[in-house]
Amino acid sequence: MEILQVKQIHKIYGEKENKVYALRDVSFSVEQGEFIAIVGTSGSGKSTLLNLIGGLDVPTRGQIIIRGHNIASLKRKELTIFRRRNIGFVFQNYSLMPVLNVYDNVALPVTFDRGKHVDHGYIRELLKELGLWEKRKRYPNELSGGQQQRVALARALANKPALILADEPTGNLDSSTTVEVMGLLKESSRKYHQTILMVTHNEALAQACDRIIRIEDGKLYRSGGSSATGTEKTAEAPGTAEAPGTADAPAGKGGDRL
Amino acid sequence: MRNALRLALAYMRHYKKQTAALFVGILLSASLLTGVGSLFASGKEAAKENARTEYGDWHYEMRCDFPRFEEFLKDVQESTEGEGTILSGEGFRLEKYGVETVRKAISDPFEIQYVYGDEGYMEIMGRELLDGRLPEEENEIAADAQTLRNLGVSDVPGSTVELDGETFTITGIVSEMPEKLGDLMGDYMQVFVSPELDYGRNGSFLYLRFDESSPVLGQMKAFAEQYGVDGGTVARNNGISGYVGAEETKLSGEQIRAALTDPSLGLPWIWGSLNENEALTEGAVLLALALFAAFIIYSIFQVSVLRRLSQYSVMQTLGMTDGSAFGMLMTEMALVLAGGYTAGTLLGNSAAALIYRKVGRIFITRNQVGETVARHTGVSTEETAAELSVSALPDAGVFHVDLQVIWAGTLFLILVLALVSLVLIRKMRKLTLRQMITKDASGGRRNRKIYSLKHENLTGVLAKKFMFSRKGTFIGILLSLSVGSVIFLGAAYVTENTRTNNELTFAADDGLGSDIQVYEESDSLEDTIPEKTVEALKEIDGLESVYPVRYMLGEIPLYDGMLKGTSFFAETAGEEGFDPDPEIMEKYNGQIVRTGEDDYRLKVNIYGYDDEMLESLNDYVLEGSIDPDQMRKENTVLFKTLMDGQGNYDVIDISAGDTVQIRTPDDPEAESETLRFQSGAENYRDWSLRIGALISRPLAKVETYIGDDGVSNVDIIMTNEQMEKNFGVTGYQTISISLTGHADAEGADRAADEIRSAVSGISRCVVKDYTAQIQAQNLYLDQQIMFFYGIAAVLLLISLLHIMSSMQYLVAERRYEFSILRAMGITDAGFLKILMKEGLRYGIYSSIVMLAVYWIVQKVLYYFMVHVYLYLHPQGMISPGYLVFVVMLNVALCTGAMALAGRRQPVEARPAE
Repeated sequence: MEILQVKQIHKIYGEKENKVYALRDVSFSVEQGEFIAIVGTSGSGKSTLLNLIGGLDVPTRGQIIIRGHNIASLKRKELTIFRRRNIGFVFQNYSLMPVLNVYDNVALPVTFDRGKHVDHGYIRELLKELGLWEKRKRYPNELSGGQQQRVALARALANKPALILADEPTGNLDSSTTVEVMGLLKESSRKYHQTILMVTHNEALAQACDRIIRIEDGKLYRSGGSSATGTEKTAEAPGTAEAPGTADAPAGKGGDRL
Repeated sequence: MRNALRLALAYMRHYKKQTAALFVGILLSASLLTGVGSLFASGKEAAKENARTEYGDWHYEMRCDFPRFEEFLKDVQESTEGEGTILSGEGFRLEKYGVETVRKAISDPFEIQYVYGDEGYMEIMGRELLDGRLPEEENEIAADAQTLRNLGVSDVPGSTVELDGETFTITGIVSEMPEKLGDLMGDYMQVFVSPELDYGRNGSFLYLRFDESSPVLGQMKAFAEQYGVDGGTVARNNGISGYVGAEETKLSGEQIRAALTDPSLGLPWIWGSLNENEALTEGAVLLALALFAAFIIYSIFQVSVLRRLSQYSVMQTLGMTDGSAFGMLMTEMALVLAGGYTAGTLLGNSAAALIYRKVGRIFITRNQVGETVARHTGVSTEETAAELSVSALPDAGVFHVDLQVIWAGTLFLILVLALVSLVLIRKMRKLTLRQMITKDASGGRRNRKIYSLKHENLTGVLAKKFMFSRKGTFIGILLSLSVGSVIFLGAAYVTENTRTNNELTFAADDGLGSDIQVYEESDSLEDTIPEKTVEALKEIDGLESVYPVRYMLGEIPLYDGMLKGTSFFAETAGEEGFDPDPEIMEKYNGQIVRTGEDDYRLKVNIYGYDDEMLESLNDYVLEGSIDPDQMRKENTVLFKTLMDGQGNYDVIDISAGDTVQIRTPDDPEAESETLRFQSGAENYRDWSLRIGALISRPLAKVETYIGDDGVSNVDIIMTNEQMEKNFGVTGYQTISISLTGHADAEGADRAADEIRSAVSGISRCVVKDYTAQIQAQNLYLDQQIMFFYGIAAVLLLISLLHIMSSMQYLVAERRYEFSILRAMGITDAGFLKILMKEGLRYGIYSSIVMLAVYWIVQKVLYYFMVHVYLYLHPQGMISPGYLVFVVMLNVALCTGAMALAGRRQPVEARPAE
């Protein structure tokens, strides 16, 4: 099932001579359960893309359709509610509420929905799954970086969103913790059939994903013989259904091209 | 330095809002401080100039028989000083001197002195020649018109007058002697004679006026040293001494210690001794304003600095020293201060100049004004009435900018800036350290509760957690939020009580603030206004009330130590300079007579009031209650007791419910000899009357017997019926009349005329119309109260600014957390709810802190009002309306400001960025 469609997105910052084209004519789509890496150099526009998909920013042109909703057409309040019900965020700097303990941090987005009861059983399961149950009463600054990112992941999953957007989730972590967090992301994707879009500039991590979307200078990467849409399937793709428009994407490692 | 300036300017430009808040905070504080300072200074200057007119333009007086008097005259002659100074010596600069030679003094028909005054004396005393010339021959005199009228001579040059068997020709009319000089020198009249007239019994007196730019006491000492003047023989002009440093610094440490251990002195005595011309009160007000300004500046700037703490930490990482950071902060604040303070000074003084032009009189030091304006008695002379008219209110003079306060304020604020910069630098250092510490050892005492288990909505929890996450900041903000409100409430509390005190004093002094008084200007009990006249008065149109008062003189025994303060009466105090009134001694054998070791007999005024007046006395009840019907039924009385210098009413050991023994003349129209209470026992009757209530003031009074200033006499008050039943008094001594509504001047004149015709046949009966004076007085009091409220309102305005700034800081400080919340999907309404919840909590908590702090402040103010300023019946508690208003305002402002600050947050926040 197609869960996300990005159609001819343009994002321009500034005006006249100060115009900066952050994204130009970006289009792709994502199937439910896919774990996709968005790869690019610093300033290539990958975080901008993630912010647009997350509804944190508005595209200059184009459409972003999540579960059949064009998020650009939603009103401010509708967008906010749509976002918290359908999108979970994992940030590089964890972005946990320092004044809340682990459990309350995870439950927080659910409590924003009036009338929606917190599913404590699910939160317990999540925390146990992520190895945080014993630490549920700790505060963020009492945890290691890896543990904090696990809390952030649990929080992103708490609302059972359609899409998890992870912006450099391992950027602040050492290599062993990075492996651990990546494992958890993959495991979550598999277990909860969760769609994950992860921005990274780490090629090795990208290779662990189902698919890679490369972006450079605001455009999906194209090179001779490569995907017309700039997306490619990785060697380790666990047999997920191929996204429309990616049929001609060659398999194999894309890192050589960078 | 250049670098600091560059950075400071950059910050100011970048943080425009904070800079503007700081600028406005400084501007308002400076305008309040310097404006009020200038108003006080102008009032003081006007009081000084008024005192100069009232007492004469001199500082010290001494007999001319000191050893080097001739040398002094020679020095003056030879002196080459210019520009106002006539003689400079070691430690003094003399600006004026005058010599008065008293040639003769007579006591019949009045106390009159024949005086020759040199040019300097005439100038110092303001005795200007209005008509004719000064006497040149032995049989010539000049005098003022009032003196000549008293002597029954027409006030035109050429008339003759006979004094002590000699005939003098009047050669000139001079202006009158300074109005209050008599208070200092004893009441007498002056006639000026020529230098030729000499009876061989001359007394010469030298009057000196020094340069007032430095304290004149030191100059007098230097003068006395140089010319051999015995300090003990020098008299001081008490009228202006307080303004020119003519007195010794009042208290030594020893005296203060002694006063603090003596319950009859205590703090009120120390304050009273130091508070010459309200200097201490005004100083305290200015200090409070300065501290408030300092607090506001610190608070607003702190907010501004804390918001950019991270940038400072980056700069410190890059190698900026604490010294440079201090320089940068100091430069930034100094730049804002320079602009804000200058503009504030201009604004404050311009506003003050306008205020002073309109209502300058209210700033003239109270002890000067109080004598002539704040009091007027029910029974007084035409002169008193004239003094009370609007035109006779003290002249406010011109507005003076108080440079001293401006410079002192500048210096004070610069010191504050340095201190604020230092504190902030320390804070930055501490913060870095603390951050490190919290990272390592944050466990232990933190609350481990999982809130989401019990709360479906975490917004309330978050608001609470945000508040309490940093306890120091939380307490600081609460305190700072409450300070402005506390000052406002304190000002309102004092204003409210001042208003009540003014009203009560005013009513007590003239008998219910009556528009017209009818009274017997007589000291004979035979002279009374008959009942039928009172009835006739009641028939006159346009009168709202007619309150007749019966009178009897009585004597009460105060035996076995019932009188606790013997120093209260001149007769028993035995203090030099505190002598009994000779007239009262002669007519009534004094106010009080000692009859045994601890036994005294005290003269009292006995009044009969009508029911409405008695009801009005409820405002003055200290103990017991007033019920006219019960008074009639049980023949109980009201006892107006004495108050000591600290506002305590325990000079006489008596309470409501006790019985008072009263002796009165048997005959209600007893002759004057009987009023000495020394005639045979058959002339008197003794009464035992129970006291229904103890009161602090009488209302209408009769002053023509033993006197009654409303404070220092004991009065027994009962119903008019009791006066008749007990003592057989049927006539009235005084009647207080109020006109209906707001009678205009014409209506008042007409009513007064009708009243005059109604009482025209009654011997020594006088009608006095106080309408204009009451209006003037009310206007004066209203202006004073409006000013107090104005100041309180400005203080409130400044603290509002401060609240806004604090709330903005709180939101800005949480930017990171709020951005996470936004990213997590909190709606605008939800976000606003969190902010408003936090604002609401701040409003509530700061109100609690405010009430607690204010409770203490109120206790202190109450103590001062009761014991130092001797306010009549001050309320122990401010009107609840004020508290409700301030609490609601606090809550509304904190909530509103928080929500407003939240609105300015970016539309969408990205914590990852």
